[in-house]
Amino acid sequence: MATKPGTHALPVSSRGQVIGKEIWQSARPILVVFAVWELVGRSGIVHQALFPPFSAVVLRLYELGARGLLFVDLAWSLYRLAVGVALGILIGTAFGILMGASKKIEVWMLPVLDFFLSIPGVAIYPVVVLLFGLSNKAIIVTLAFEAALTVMMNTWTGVRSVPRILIDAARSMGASLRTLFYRVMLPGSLAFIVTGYRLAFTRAWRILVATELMGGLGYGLGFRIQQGRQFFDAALVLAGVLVIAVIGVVTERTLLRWVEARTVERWGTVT
Amino acid sequence: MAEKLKVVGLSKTYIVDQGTPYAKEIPALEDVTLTVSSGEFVTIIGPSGCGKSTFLMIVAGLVPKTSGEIFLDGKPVKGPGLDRGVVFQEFALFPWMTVEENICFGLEMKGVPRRERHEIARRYIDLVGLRGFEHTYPFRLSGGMKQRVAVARALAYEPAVLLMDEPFGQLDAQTRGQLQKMLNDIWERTRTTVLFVTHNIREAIYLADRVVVFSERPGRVVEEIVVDLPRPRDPWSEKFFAYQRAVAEALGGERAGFF
Repeated sequence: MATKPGTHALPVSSRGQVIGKEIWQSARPILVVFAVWELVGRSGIVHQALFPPFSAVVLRLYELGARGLLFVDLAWSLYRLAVGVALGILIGTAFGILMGASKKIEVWMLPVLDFFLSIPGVAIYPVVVLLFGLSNKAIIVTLAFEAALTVMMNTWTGVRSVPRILIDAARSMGASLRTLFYRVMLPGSLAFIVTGYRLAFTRAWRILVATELMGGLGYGLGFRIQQGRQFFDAALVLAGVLVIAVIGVVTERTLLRWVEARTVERWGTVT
Repeated sequence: MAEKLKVVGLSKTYIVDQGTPYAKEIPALEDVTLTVSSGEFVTIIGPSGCGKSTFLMIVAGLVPKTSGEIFLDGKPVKGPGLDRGVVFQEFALFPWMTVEENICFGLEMKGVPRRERHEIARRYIDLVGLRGFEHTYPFRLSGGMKQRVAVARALAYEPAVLLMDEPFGQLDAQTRGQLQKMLNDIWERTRTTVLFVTHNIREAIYLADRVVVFSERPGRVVEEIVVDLPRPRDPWSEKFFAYQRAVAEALGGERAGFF
């Protein structure tokens, strides 16, 4: 008990080295995929107009970037995603906690939640379009709907996972309902809640692209792909797909990761 | 000595499978009457499943009683409160709070100003021998250290009575011994009123002024044995063995598995 925590003499590689190794390990297979793509594109097995090589797609992407169109599309897509998911998170967290905290609410809401969760988000979109027209609003509402359901499910699970004994401990120290909620239920279910947020982002991202493909809204990554198809511009289609993939990976890998690192991982609630 | 805690005719009946045709009543405690004086250390011992933990949780206000009365300093007890400090077998530390934050929680509930909370927490961290671990999160601590934190947390807000539910039950023999010694030292210095539940005969005698023996379910008080030995007790003395024998016999002796 004399040694201070955190002091050790083991040789350790620096944080940067570890992260660098991790990035290289995940990038390696992707680079192989790009190389194969390039080879297939150049070999002429498929006509180049239908399946251009990787380099041609990157060139097309560069053109789009230089014209600024890429960034406009990106901005629109990310705006829809951000607003939709933010709304979904707000609504989903609130209802999820209510469901977890009250048996009565749970009994009423769970069947409804199960019912809506079985509907793919994309299938909701036409219904929403009927109500809101072919607009930004329709996409955002669809995303919010899907995100809210996902977040609600995870938050509810999280609240129920808080050990009874911790609630008892807080109660034994005279904690009010409000204190119980903010100081015990919320941090206790954070691991599940953050997972829910991540899942909501991933799902919303998929639905976003699908809805943009369907609607003629003028801007957005999905719209750009659709346009490429209409103009028989295979490089444009693939460029759009490439950007979507990159954005997807980046949001999944980085977003909310820092929240986890600062909370649940530090507490040892998850490893 | 003044009466601190008084329990009169406490009974508890659980109903299992409520609302089904198989519903039945399980009596856990039957007419338990017990008085703890101010500054007294009382241990409750009994066979497993005898309702001794339930009894403690009812006194803590965390489990509702079926009938009977509980008085603390003459006032009837309703629900949980800061006048009773609880130490659980499962430690029950908040994983998202450091050692110091865990100890400060009760003080905060009590309304102690921030600066003072900090000072008090430091004092109790010293008391349980955890200096240097103030900012450590519980998952990095061993079982023994976790329970030291839990003891400090319950003592820090100075409850009228400390309720301990088999607090050392999950620890290995040596750690258990260390914590028993620590608790004895702390008690000799502070003279807090303690109600301590255990199923370990030696632990019960080592710590208690008085050992209360519970029967098998439904739990009733079968005997109260006053331990008249100077502290700290010598667990290898003949007198200590005599008390061990007396408690074991009250529990049913060798026939019941106590030897």
